[in-house]
Amino acid sequence: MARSAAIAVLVVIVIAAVAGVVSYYYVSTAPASTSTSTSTATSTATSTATSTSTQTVTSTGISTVTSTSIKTVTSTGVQPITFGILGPLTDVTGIDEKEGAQLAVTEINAHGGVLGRPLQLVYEDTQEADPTIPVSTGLAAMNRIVTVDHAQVIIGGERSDVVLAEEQQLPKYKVPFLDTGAADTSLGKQVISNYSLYKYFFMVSPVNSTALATGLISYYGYFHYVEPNLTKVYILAEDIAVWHALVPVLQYYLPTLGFTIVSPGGGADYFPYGSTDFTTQMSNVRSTGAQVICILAAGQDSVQLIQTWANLKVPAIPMGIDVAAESPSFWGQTSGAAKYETIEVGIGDTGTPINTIGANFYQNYSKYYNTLPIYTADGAYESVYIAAQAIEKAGTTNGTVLIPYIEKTNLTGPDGVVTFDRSHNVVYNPDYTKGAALSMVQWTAFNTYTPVWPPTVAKPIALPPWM
Amino acid sequence: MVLPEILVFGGLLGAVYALLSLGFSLSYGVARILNLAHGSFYMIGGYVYYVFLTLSGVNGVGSLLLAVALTFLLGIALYLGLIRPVRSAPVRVLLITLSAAIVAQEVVSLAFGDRGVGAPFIIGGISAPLGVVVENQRILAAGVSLAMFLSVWLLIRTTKLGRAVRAVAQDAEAASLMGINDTRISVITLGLSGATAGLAGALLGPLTGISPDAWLNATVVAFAVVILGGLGSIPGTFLAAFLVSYSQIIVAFEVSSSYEIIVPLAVIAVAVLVRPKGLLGKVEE
Repeated sequence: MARSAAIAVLVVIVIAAVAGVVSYYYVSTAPASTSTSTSTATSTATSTATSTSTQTVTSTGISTVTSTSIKTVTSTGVQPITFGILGPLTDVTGIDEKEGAQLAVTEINAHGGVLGRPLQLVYEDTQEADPTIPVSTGLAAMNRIVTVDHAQVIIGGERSDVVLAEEQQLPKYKVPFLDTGAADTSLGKQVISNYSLYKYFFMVSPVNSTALATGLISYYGYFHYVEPNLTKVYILAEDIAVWHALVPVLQYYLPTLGFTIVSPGGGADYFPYGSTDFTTQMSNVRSTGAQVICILAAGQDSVQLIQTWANLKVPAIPMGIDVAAESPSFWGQTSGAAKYETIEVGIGDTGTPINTIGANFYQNYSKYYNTLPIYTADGAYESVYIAAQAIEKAGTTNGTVLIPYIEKTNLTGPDGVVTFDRSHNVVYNPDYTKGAALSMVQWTAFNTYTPVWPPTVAKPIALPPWM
Repeated sequence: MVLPEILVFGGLLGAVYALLSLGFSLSYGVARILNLAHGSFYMIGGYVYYVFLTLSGVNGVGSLLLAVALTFLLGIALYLGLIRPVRSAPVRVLLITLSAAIVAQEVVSLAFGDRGVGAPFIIGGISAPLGVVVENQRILAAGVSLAMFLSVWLLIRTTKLGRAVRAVAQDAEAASLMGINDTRISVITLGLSGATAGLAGALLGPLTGISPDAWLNATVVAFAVVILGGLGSIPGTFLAAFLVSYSQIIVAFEVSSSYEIIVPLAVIAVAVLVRPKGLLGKVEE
C-alpha cells in the first residue's frame, strides 16, 4: 500500500515536472502579439528579433514597416489591449483576417503600441466557412472571445447569416465589432433601425452588397463597350442571403446596359452553398446560349464550378464575384482552370497597389506569409488601425465610448479611404482617393491576375479560346 | 431541349450510385450491419486517390487500385475493430459507425483542411453522347462502376464464395451449421463494401471534388437507394440507383438544383411509408 502510494506520488511529480518544462518552453518562445484562446489578457511574454527597420508614420496613422522580419515587443508589467479575431480560422478568409491583423499589430507595437500599451490578439474559430456548421458555433465562439478571452474589440466575420446573429449579441457585450468579411446590407440596416443597440457594428470590408453590385454593374457597362456582341448573361449564384440581396440590383440594371438575362425566370440560377456538381448548371448555360456567366460565390464551391466550366469548354466567360478565386491558391485548386475567370476585388488586391500604404502592406504581407492577401486581410489590417486610432483618441478601451470615434474614422488604407456612412458601412467610391474602391481582375497565369477595370488600370480582357 | 441531358446525366450518375450503394446493400443484406460509416469509404477513397495521384506521383490507374485496396482493408478493420464487438446490439452498431464516420471526417479535415480537394482526371477531353457535352472522365466513371458492379454480382451469383455469402444472407444460423464461417463472410462483405464505395469516391472525386464532409451525402444516397431497391437485393439496388439519379436530375433541370439534395431524403421517407420492403426486397424489416 505504502509502495503504491509512493509510486503514485512519484508519477504525479514527474508529470508536473514535464508539464512545467513544456509550458515554460512554450511561453518563452510564443510571440507576444498573439495568444491562444485560453490565455488571459495579462500575458507578458516577450520575443525579439534582431532585424533593423525603418518606419514612417503617415498623417492618417498607419505606420509602414520595412523590417525584414516580424518583430514583437512588449513591456513586462503593462497590460496589453486585446483585439479578438473571430472568423473561420482554417479557411483562407479567416487565415487572412488573422494575418492582416497580425501585421498591423506588429507595426503598431513597433511604434510603442496604443496609449503606451501593446496590442495583443486572441483568436476564436467560428468555422463559418463550412456551410454545414450552424450559426450557434459562431455565437459560442463570440461568447468565448468576449467573456473568456476578454477581447475589447472584435475583428472578423465571413458568412452573413453568422455575422447577422453575432450582431444581435452586440448590445449585450457592448464591444465594437469590425466586420471584415460579410457584405449583407441587412447588417447596416440594423444600425439605422436601432442605433442604440447596434451601433457597435461596423462593416470595414468588403463594401456592402449594394456597392458590390454597383461596382459589378459599372464593370459590365465597360465590358459591353469593349465586347458589344456578348450580351447574354446567365446569373449563377449561391443560395445565400447576400446574393439574394444583390441579384435584384443586377436584374434591374443589366438590361438597361444592353444585356439580356437568360438564366431561369430572368433572375438567378441559385445552387446550394457547398455544391460540388455543376453539370446541370453548365448544361443550362450552354443550352440558353449564354455568353457571360455572372458568378456570385462566397464559398469553395466555385472551385468545382470553374473546373466543370473549363472541362466542358462552355462558351461563356465567367465574370462576377467569387471569393475563393481571390486566393492565390485558386489557380492550383482548379489545376489552372481559373484562367479567364474575371472577378471583382478590392482595388488594393489587384497586385498593383494604389498608394504607398497599399504597396507596403502588400510587400510585407507577401514577405511574411509567402502569399498574397485577399480582401479580409486588407479589412483586418485596416480594422486594427481604425480601432487603435479610436482608442488613442478616446483615451479608453470602453466599447461604448469608442463608437463616435470609430464613426469619425478617416483612414487611408490599401483599398482607398475608409470612412463610414450612417449605417456604419464603409463608403464605396470608384475614386480610391475618396472612398473604398473596387476593381475587376482576370486570372491569366499561376499566381497572377491582371486588372481589367477600371479603365485607368485596365489591360485588355481575354476570352477563352473556345468562345 | 432538356430530355437528352436528363437521359445522359441521369444514366451516368446512376451507374456510380449503383456502385456506391452496392456495398451498403451487401453489408446489410448479408451481415445485417447498418453501417452509417459507409459514406466514409467513399470519402476516403477519394482522398486516397488524390494523395497517390497528386502527391506521390502514382498514375491514375494505380491510384484507383490503391484506393480500392486501402478501402477494402479499412472495411475489414472497421468490422473487426469496432463492429464485431457490438454486433449483437444494432443500436450500438449504428452509434459506433456514426462515431467512426465523424472521427474520420475530423481526421481528414485536420490533415487536409476543410476545403475540398480535386484530383486530375484519368482521361481528359469531352464527348457528346446524344449531343450532350460531358467529360470523358464522367463516362469512364460510369463504365468502371458498371463493370465493377457486374463483377461483384457475378462473384455473388457464380462462385463458391458467392454461394456462401447468399447462404449467410438467407439464414446465418443454418449457414453456420453447414460449416460456413459467418465471421469470415462478414469480413469479406465489409471489405467489399468498403472497396466498392471507395472506388466510387475515387471515380467521382475528380469531377465533384472531395471534402471531409462528403461522407454524409454519400451515406444518404446509398441509404435511399438500398431502402428503395430493397434491403439485400442487388438487382433492386441497381434499379433504385437509376431511379434516384434520374429523380435528382429531373428535379435539378425542371425545378432547381437547390432541391436536388432533398430527393434522396424524400425517397427514404416515401419508401419507408409506402413500401418498406422496397421494390425487390427480400428482407422484411
